[in-house]
Amino acid sequence: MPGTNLIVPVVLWGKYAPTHCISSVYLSRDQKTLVTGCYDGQVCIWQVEPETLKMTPRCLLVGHTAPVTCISRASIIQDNNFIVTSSEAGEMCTWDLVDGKCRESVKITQVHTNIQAYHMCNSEDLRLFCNGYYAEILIMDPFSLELMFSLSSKMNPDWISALHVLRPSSRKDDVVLAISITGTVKVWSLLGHENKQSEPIYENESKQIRCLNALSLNCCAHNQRTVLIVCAKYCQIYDAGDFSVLCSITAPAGERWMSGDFMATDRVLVWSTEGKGYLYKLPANSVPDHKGFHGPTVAHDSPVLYGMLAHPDNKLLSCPPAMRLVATSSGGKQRRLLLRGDSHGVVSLWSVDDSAPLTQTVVMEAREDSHGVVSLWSVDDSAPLTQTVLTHAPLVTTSLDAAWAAMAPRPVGVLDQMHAPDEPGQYPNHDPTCPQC
Amino acid sequence: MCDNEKEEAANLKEEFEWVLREEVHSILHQLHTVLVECAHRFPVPLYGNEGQKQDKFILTSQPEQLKCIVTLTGDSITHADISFKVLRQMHTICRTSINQDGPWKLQQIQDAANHLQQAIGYIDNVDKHYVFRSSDEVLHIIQCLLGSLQRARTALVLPKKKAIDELMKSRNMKALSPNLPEDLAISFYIQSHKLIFVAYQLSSVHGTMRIDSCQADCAVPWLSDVLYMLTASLHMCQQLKDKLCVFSQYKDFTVGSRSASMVFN
Repeated sequence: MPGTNLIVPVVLWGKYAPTHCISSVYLSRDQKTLVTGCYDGQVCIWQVEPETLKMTPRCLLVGHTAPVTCISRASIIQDNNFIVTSSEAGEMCTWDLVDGKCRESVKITQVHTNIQAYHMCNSEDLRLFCNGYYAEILIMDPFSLELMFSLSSKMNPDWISALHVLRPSSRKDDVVLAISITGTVKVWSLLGHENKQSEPIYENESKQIRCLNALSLNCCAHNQRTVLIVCAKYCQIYDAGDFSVLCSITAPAGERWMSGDFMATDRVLVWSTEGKGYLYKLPANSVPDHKGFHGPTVAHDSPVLYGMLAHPDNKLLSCPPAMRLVATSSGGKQRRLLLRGDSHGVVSLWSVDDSAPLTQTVVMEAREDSHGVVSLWSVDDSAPLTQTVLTHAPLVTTSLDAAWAAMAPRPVGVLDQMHAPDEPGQYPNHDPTCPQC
Repeated sequence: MCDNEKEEAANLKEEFEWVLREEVHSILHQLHTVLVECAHRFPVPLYGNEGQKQDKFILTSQPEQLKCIVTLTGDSITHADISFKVLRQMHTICRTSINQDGPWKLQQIQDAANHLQQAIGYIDNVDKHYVFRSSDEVLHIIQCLLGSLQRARTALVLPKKKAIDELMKSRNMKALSPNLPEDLAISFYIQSHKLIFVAYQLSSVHGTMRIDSCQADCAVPWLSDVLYMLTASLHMCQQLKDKLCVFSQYKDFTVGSRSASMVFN
């Protein structure tokens, strides 16, 4: 870590799996590497078999001194094996996933709560768009971890609680859409030649909306017209044109929303602090292709819950799990997976598209024949869906404990030998390093 | 285990359940009261505290090196008359001002207020009737609270260091009227309960850059209250954490782990 003294961390594996209360999760696009960060500051790299999604813990990276809040890829190149992590103490590290070495590390005064890796139009590789406990948006280089430039606010400058960078289909430049914790929505247009020396870059547009402490903001990738903003108590669909609310979904009793994203123009997946994913079909007034778009809310046409992604056992957790929706591409197959890592170090994965009974194909048919859609939807809506919602179990579930249990013989710790003097022959392997290596 | 030990274990479990059921909620409630009171001392809209309070301060240093009359509205200096003597040119007095169009924002106040708001949010998220089932659950909330409160306190106590060129380029410096000459810079920041004003002068001595500075400060009453309440709530959090840590060494302690017969004994 930064400093004048050289500190060499040595990880000694023992008979029991280390505690790993997961605070952030990440899965590489090729489904080969899973990374979990925990509240104690350690980062665990898991090797994933892309076909079976079987996960094996491989390395424990030591470096952060506080909860790991963000994990991001570092490059657009598929087999580039670098990731960036950032912690609540302001530390940022770039790790080589192959050997687990920290290639670069910095400690900055700005603490990030969210990082979006984005390929800007004029840059060779990814840039990290960061927001957190500070009033700007910082754009950083993932390999040098240097600040490239920052975005400032003129109107009600305050912390940015969520952001989304995208390239509008009609334009060549990139647009940053963000919301401050007090509910000012802001838009910056980037031309690609911004740098640290340039004058402060202020937002091009801003609008005050009634939305405090947003947790995530996502523009629909399919139409770039609707925006999903998730707050703890409710999540809402907005029209990006004028930022008016189209519909709202209240969090289930006893749960709080954490984040969410669009699955299709008319479908969203939102997940809660209980570690459950909820799939909703949006009402007609929230779907841009639909005739009734932007119309008033109709009483019988409200968001419909049509699927749930949950653990069957619903084990007691000591804190909300870390969850993330990832798009992967492996062996020519595109998938969307919902990742979850909980306080017991348990990692689970849902394949969202396989779980959702009504998928994109329905929407496609719908576009061809809009009357067909209406009837199709009404068929769905007429059924008492709230009672027949299917709950889908995760595709794969594993944990550090499970990985330890599967090992024979168990790994040997240095001190463990003192605990069990009466068990000779238990320790064929005296190498106190990672059992997997 | 002999009977005495069994009884002790049973009592300990009973006590543990009581802590989770009653004590945690009661301490969280007390903390909430302190933190909301703290939020209300802030001059910015925060947790039901409406309105931007205004305060006037005069900052001077002996012997009449600099003088500064400041109006603090919310988290910004909306008006200031600033005059200071330029070093080594004893008769030159530099004057400038801050006006409403270009307020000098004290980011530290907003940062502290936001961290505090976040801390209150952690308590608000816990339903009053929620039944805690393990000490880990409570410890996680305390850890989050401690983090937010510490960051709130640090924001006020330790101002972030800025490079001199960064300061000169800053939006705050550019809003001064009239603008300062290139070799001069000023800064306002908060350190603990004080508002501090510094004037910097850059000079070149034998080819190396040298920075001279002189500063003045004044006490801001609400900051003392805020810091006091933040420290008190950090202390309360730590005490609750210590209480729970006594039980967390018994890993098998969860609510309901006590057998029914013991409950009625």
